Amino acid sequence: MQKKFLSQYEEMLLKNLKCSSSDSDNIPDHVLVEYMKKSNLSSMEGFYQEILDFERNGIDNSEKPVGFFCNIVPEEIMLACSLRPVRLCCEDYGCGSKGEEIVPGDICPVIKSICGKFYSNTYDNLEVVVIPGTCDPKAKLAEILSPVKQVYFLDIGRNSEYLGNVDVWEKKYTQFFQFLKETFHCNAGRRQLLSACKLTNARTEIFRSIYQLRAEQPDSINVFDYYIMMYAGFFMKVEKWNALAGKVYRQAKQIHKFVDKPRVLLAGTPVIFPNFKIIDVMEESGLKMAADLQCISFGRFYNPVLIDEETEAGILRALTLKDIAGSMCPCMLNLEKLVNLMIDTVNQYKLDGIIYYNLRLCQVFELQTALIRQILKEKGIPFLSIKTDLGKEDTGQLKTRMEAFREMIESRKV
Amino acid sequence: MIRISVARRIVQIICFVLLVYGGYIFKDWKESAETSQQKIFPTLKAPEGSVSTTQFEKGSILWPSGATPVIENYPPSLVCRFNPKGGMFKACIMHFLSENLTWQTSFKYLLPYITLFIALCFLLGRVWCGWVCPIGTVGDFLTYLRRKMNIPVRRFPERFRLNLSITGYSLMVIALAISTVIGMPNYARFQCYWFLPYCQICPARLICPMFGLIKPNWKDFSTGITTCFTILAWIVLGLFVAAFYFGRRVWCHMCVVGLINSWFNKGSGIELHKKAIKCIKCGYCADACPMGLTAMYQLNRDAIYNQAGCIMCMRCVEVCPRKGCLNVSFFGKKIGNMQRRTLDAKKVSEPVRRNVA
Repeated sequence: MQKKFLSQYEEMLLKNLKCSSSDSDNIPDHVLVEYMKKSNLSSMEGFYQEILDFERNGIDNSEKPVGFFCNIVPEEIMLACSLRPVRLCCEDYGCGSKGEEIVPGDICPVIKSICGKFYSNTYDNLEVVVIPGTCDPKAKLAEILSPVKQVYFLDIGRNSEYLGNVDVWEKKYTQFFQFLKETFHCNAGRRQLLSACKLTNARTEIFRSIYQLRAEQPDSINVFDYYIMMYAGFFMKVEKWNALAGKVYRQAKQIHKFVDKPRVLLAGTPVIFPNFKIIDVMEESGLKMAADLQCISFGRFYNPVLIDEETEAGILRALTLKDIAGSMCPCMLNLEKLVNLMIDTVNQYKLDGIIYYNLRLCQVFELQTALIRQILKEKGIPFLSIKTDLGKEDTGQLKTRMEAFREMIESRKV
Repeated sequence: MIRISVARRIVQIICFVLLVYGGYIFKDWKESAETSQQKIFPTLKAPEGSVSTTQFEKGSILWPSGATPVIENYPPSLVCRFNPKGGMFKACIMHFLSENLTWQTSFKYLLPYITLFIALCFLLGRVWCGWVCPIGTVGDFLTYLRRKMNIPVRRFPERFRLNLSITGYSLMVIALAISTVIGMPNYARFQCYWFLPYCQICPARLICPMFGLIKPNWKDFSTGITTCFTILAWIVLGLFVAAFYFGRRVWCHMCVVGLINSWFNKGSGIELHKKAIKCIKCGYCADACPMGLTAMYQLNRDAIYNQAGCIMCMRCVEVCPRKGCLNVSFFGKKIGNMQRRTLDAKKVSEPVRRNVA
């Protein structure tokens, strides 16, 4: 009975996912060009070019691309197996509405977009998709995608403040490493892992420089360029990203632009290209995004891998500490340290307020908003919680709220 | 700035060379050293005709056989025993205590030594264990070998590690009790076998002479007691090697000298500070701690953290990915940035000043 049901389900999914043609499903070029025009750095061109290439041609099969979601999946392990990690997180309105053919409309917009994205030919060449068990929609996504792709489900314990869980995570990572080695017939070990960690640590170093520069002078690299860089990091080779980002940093360092506008910290749901609505509105209403605590930028790049035991198990353990224990993902138990981090970042860079961006229908981000608001109110830090979805309908309303927030900050200053 | 773990390795190697080969290096220093320190530190000697010393010269399990007298008096033979004839400050407090309990030295002669020891302890806490201790250096080398051989570290449960200190304290009490009892006139005949009971099984007795190119007294099956001590010493040496090879510094939880040093860890000059707001609970500090301590990780408020088990290796400060979260201070004065250099942002300029109307 169960088997019969499963086969029917698979057939239905396959029919749904494979039926549509792939043309005009990708992000149109003119969206990208619009942001390219706003850039004041010539060195950013490389990133835009990379994104254009990716959206048009997808990834070459010869590089063994492996798709993954979330920071919880360790890139270093995939790099050590000489695979090409491609992060699949997606917030595209067009893809989202297509995804509604497979999944119901009133669920996580990221899941909808991802399901829609699998219509297009961008991800055709992926050999394996790694999905972590962070939130509930991700766990179900593993089942939804399993008929079309080979899916590896990375299950983890969610209490990030309990050290006993490190052993569990280490075991999971070891299994994952074993799986990749067997699937792709490679002989990776300690040395490969070490060189992969070296690569990502170099990336961390560049990212920290950029983060520091932006926190002090938000206009040196404008916010669109910043998120374009982060989006390009989803699929670009790490060496290439490092080289290009280094070039951007060196050019941006020369520009000294003093900002007269309130600088704010953007926390909450990640801003993924092409869903730049929130930062568009922020720019228009005169708020400068100086720092962020999102998982695609800060969460992914800020923490280095610090290896104490240079054995294979020791490196995997260090990776779990970086990716899971130090994670700011709301799926984990980490509200206290997230609030600490917010307050600390605001104090360190002398920021004016916090905007907490929440993509509608993401429950975990939404649940902790009230708690964060309460603590920050006690601390006297201006806090604005924004809840919106992928659509563009509420842009005007958002702008009004942001402007009111800006005026509130400015009146505090006087 | 040099990385703290590299600095620690350098200090460890220098101290090891000085302690183990110092006797060769400072051969001529003996006379002047002995006379100059007489003023402050009175000679501590075994009482005339004491059984322990007379038997010693004939050779016991403690004494490396076939060593020439000059070397015998100086470090290569036994680092813990700087000068067996008395006079110099002993590096090893356990040796010093057991010896003088047996000899029943008057407290007024001991006072300068004990004062110096306590002063050093208050100044540096357990820095001895992490930075100087020669067998700790040998153990760290074993750990290094294991890492090179890609053998994962064996992590012992916290409870087990804490119970090791109970073992250490029991050993200490037993050893000091034996030393006191054999000092009594009625039991003086046992001195030749029971003298310095802890030192007889201490791994340093066997390990350090080997580096000084001297053959230690590996075995003595002449009597029942020496046989027991020989076998015990082998077992302890085996445990020592295994503990350092498979774990990291598990041994140091039960090392008797380390335990005595640990009494002074709280309130010593060197302090570790934690700034809780910077902590993201990544657990790198708990993972990197060679003693396996997790208290630093668990702290949820700004505090000075000097736990008894901490050997002041400052590895936690080095690996912390958040700048300014963990700091080291010496008598309240902060010692510069000890974190990994590569992770700091290249240039820190002043925050932008703005004039909002």
